[in-house]
Amino acid sequence: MVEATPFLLLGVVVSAIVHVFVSEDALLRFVPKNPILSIVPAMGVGMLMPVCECGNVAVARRFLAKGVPVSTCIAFLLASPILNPVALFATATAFRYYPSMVWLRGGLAFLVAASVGLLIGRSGKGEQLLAAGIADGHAHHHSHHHAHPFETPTGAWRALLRRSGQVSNQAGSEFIMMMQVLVVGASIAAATQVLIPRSAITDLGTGIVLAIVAMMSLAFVLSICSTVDAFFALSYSNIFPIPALLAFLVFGPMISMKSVGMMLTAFRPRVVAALVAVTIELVFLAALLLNLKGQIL
Amino acid sequence: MTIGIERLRARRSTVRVDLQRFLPSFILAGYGIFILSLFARHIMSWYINPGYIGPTTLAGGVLVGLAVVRLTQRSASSCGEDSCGDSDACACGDAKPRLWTYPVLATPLLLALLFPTRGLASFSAIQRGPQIAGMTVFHGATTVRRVSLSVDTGSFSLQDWVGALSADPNPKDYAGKTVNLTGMVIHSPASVPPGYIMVLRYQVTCCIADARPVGLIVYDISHGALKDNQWVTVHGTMGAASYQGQQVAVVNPKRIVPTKAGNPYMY
Repeated sequence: MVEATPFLLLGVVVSAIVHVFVSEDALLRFVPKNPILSIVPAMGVGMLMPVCECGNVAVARRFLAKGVPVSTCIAFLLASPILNPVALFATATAFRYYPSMVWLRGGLAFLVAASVGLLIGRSGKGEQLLAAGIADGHAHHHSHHHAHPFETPTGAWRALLRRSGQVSNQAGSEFIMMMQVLVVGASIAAATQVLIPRSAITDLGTGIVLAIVAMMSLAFVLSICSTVDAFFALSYSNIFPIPALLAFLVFGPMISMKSVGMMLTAFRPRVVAALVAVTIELVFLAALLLNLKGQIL
Repeated sequence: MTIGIERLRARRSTVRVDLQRFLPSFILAGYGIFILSLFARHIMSWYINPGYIGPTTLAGGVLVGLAVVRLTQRSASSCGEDSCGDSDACACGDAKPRLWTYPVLATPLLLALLFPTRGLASFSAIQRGPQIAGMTVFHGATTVRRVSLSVDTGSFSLQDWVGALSADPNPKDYAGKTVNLTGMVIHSPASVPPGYIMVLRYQVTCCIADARPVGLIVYDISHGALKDNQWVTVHGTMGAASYQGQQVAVVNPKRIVPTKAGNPYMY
């Protein structure tokens, strides 16, 4: 949790700045109406966010509250922990003896995130999928926004000062909101690490199917930050095949004990359940397919 | 009587409003002060990689700042639904946390107050699966300090040996090299051959959630006198032994000196 704090704080500050300084109209202008094309800016923003999954949930919540389509936000939420430059650079550094891992990880993250986003986005209207607080906020935001014109230089300074206060207030509230689920998620992850021997997961089996299951389970339980998980995965490279390591590197940043709780602050439980199930299936199938295409690896 | 009840209601209402106003600030300040105290006491590296100390300490300062700003702003009671559109101090769009969430948020802080900071010990090493240097790959700039065997290996730390054995796991290349290393002892029948102990520390990339126990196999000249968690400095030379069908580097000690427990982490 100590490690997650700066990332979470960065996320909530970005979220608060978007909340206070960017109106819904301005934000939505950058999001194409076509659901498939709308994924592109989500990935672009994700690549610019140098934070892991803890910070991205806060930003995704804000985008949802501002009316950005659910599919776009899910794609952003799932892909950005992996597509951000820090995570990709760390993957390249860790797997310097296997450089294909960088594009395999980035490419698979893009495909899975876009597919899950489009699938979930098609399953219902915006407010039906969002958590109560976000849905209310969404409706509330249609009634007003915070863009007040600066009239005079003195007025501009005053307004800027007031808005800085708003950013601070909003960031504090969101930090508390996200921290409460992070505390619960991190506690469960820590208890699991202490109580369950790691060999209980890694000894699941040596066949490719069980190897992928083992590494995905490990990723879910450990909830390691996406910017360093490549180094961790590398230490299992003498036990598990590359597709299983790839499943670990793609699935972990998207779905973990820590992040599922945080997602519940943005989406309804049934949506989170569907999101988790579809992501598991897609990552698992993709890793299996890559194993069949052994010559690529 | 009616006046008395009205006064009581008013007082209750005041208490509720004050809690809603002050508790978030206390929580923010609590986390901020906790982080700053880790920095001030030089123990933050017992939680995270030292490379992250800067941004984490900055985050602690920002949290304290957010708490102060909240406290100095006007009362949360002016931030109701009706006034939201007009109030610049209002954090719109998010429901206020329920009161029960504050004990949840305060629990980690209370636990940190009650229990002093301690490093991971042998129990965690066995739970996580101790890894023998040379049998596991530890590549990557932040996890391996590469070494040259042309230098005097007497000054090698455990981390240096882990790096060297990752790059070249053939134990014959290290035969007879001087070893002086410090770490904690574990006996783990699943991971250590009989008659040997493992002297290990934890390799940390980001934080202790990803800490991996890794060590060298040392011939046990104490014949079982050394217990788990005992910190020792081993003086000896490098040799080899067969384990799980593989030749692994082992330390043939001349002396094993019990020593004071140190930082169990390598970064």
